[in-house]
Amino acid sequence: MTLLSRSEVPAAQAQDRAPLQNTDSATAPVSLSQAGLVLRRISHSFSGTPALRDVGFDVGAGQVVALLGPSGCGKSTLLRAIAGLLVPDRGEIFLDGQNLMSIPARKRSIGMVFQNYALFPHLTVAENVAYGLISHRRPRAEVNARVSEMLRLVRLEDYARRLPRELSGGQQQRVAVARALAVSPAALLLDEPFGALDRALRTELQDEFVRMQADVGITTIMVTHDQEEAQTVADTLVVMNAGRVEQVGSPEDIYDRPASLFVNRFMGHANCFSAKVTGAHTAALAAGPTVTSARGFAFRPGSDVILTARPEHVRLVAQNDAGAISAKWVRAAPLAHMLSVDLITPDGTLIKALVNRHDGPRYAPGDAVGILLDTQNLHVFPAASKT
Amino acid sequence: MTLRLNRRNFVLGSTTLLAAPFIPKLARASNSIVAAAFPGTWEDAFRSIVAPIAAQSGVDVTIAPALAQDQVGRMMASAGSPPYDALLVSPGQTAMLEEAGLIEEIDPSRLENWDLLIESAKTPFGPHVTVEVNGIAYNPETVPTPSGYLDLFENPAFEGRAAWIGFGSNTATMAWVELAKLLGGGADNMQPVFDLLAEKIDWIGAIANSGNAQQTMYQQGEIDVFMASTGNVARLRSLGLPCNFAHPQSGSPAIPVAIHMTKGASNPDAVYAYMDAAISTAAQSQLAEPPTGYVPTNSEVPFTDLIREFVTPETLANAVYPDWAAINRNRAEWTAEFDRVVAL
Amino acid sequence: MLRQGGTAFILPMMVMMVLCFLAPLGVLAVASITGPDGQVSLANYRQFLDDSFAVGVLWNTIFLGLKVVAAVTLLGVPIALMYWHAGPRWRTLILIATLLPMLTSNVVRTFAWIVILGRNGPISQSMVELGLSPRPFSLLFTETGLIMALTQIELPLLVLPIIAVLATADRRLVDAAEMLGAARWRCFLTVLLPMMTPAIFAGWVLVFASATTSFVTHSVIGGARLIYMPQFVYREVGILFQWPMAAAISFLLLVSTGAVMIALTLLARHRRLAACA
Repeated sequence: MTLLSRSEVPAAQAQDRAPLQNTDSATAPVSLSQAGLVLRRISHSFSGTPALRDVGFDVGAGQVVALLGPSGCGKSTLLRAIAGLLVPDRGEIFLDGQNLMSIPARKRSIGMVFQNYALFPHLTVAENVAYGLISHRRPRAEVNARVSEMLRLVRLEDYARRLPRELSGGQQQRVAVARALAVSPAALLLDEPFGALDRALRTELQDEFVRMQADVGITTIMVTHDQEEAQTVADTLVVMNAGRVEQVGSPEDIYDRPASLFVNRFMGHANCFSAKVTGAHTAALAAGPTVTSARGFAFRPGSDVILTARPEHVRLVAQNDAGAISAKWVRAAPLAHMLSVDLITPDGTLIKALVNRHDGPRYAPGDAVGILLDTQNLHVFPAASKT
Repeated sequence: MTLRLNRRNFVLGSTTLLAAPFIPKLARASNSIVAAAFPGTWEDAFRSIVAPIAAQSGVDVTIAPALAQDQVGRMMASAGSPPYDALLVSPGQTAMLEEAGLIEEIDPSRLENWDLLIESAKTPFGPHVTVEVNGIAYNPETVPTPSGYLDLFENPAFEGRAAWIGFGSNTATMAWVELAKLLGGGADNMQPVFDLLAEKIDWIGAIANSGNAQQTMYQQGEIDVFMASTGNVARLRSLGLPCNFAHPQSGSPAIPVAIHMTKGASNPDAVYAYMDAAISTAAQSQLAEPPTGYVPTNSEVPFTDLIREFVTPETLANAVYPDWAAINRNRAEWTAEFDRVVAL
Repeated sequence: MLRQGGTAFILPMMVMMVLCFLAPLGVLAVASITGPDGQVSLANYRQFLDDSFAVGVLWNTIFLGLKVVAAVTLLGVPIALMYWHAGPRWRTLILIATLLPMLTSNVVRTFAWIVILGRNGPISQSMVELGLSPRPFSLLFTETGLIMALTQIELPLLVLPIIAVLATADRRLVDAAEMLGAARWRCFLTVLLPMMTPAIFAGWVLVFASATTSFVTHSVIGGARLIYMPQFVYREVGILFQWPMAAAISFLLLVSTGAVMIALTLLARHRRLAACA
């Protein structure tokens, strides 16, 4: 269901973008003419504690990439490294073919929208937007024209003389974006740009941002811990964990083909089952039944594995159906035309299922039901990878 | 013993602490008095020598440091409830206090040691505890012996080396009066001194605000000459500094120091005990020793070696006793004029 | 409800303020307009203001305060900036070094300055050894020496408020300025300085008030030839016993230094500066 919002992103936008360089890009050579942002083997540690480990990926010109991960995964550190506010221990960053490593932050031509926006409290909206232009010694007339243009872009023409504290959170966010874009940077970085806003406003501003980004067409990297936000705004997600890139891909790729158990569990819900591989196409669940997969298991028989299934790939059947895992109905909540069901297996594992509201019998809490997994859509990970 | 600090005790305790400055005497035990003494050497000596002797007769003396002129000021500010029970001042202040009716005549029969005093030390308002002999303190290693006050303004050896103070200080006032006499003026005509000051202001080494500041500067080698009492010189020597005392040719001004009982003193008996302690043979013998070297007024106490080095009974006899009535008449005017002459 | 309940709680404090602060001021005010014959009269004020020497002393006092404020600012703002850029260990060190002078009594500090400023003190000695001065010199009883001593003594009054602001300041503001192409000086002038300004003003008020009323330091380091208002008042009270006159002078000192302080405080209330606080 989290994917539904993707369809709202204008199709033209996604098509115009350069193809994504994947997985091996951490070490791939850089062509000097390559447009967009290129990161290579970036490592950094804070007083001995590694924060980034060999991070590398490419962002095509005009693309929107979301850095996604739990707090402390290194995504903010990476953003600061790209900005030039932090010099990483190792690694290289290229922007439109130019190596940024020896260029200070103020000359990198990168715009940044900070968490909580970091608007200058003593400057008016117009002065905040003009700040970068004046730093670059643009003529007064050009500054004025550009400020008006930017305020029009974020629809704040009437607020030019206000101080930041006289604005709402959403208005402040738009000023921050206008300020970052005013100097026409080659790339835009956003650190949790929607984090301080309430839910309704967040959706509105996300849509507005997507529209504006499409107009401006600027290479953008956004840090977020909210996967829905990442999916709404970005064409490409970079999932990070413990300083490493776990997976780079389109939101669909990452949802449908998670590269690791971590990604599987972080992006949407994943029901996990311990199992042992018994043959090329069979595995015995710890809970009892044997699962058969047409795709086969790429593990040697006898290996301990974890099988995962999305809630929409769990079917509810009668308790004594062949191959069904027995479970108890805990509770259910309607979700549009679907029903989100919480179940519990005898060994205490919680299972989420997403079923059609009008299909099948109705159960009451405590009723015994059977679970069947959609074997076409199972993911298999080695048991040791449990995170 | 455990200290129990609950809220009530805390509030009570802190309120008392806050109120302490307003009720200096009420809060103290009935047999205690507050006695003023000049800050510095005097304060130390009275606290360590006189107060313990008074304590033997059950009187608790709190020594409060205050210059003579400040004592008068504070007495005038709170007539009716005097801030001190006993004062330590010189004749100039005595005259002012007497005129304002701020001190009590004493009953000599209440002082056991009264009869031991030399005759000149017996006054109706209380005993003299010492006679300060004033002159010129100098550093024998850096400057020659000054012959007198005028020498300090004429001999190039003293250019930029001597420190002076204004008319707030008794020691300085006496020196200025002596200088005025040498220049043809006197206690009623200070103009020659102001003329000299105006002419020779750059010749002077420094003009300080207090005797203590001068001594600190002498210690630091900032100055080599200043107007001093023998006690000042004795103290500097006790600190291991080279310091000599010169008697001016025109005579050494002498100034007795007296203890007075304030009008309205909370505990006259205790004040008498304190006076008796200050003139006792025991106290004066100790005060005559280094570092103070105060000239005794108790006839039983011999001049110590330290005192004899500066003062003999003959010097005392030849000492100059200034006209304090005239000084008091003019002091305010001189003080104001002095500021205008020396101000940078 | 709460608002009214609050009044009861601050009542003891208000009584205390009235008794210990306003009442003495009232007494002083009444004394200052009491003529020699006990009648209401502005003679004391007129006498002071007609006396060019006395007015000169008042001006000198205000100028001294301004000079100390300037010196403290030149020294204190860089110290505060060092604090801003320092790591946690250095921050503690700077904080302790700043606080340390406040832990010694004013009198002790003042006497220490006698040693430092003296002919045989470190300043004079090092100037001679560096060949910058042909012979030892003394800064005692000079305005330069007095300003130096007051600057050191009052320094914490400016540095501490600034450090308090910087300790909680949003560092992302400086990052933001840097990302917008601002070089160091522009960062300092347009971001850090406005952020520090309310604290600097507060510090100025404290330093000015303290420097113009520091009787002990004026009298010990400045000597008798540099005359400032506190000594002037002291002489009127302690030597001349002219209390109505002293009260009038005190009031003039209060009004003139108060004017400077109120001006600064009003400036700090400016819409833009208030936004930084």
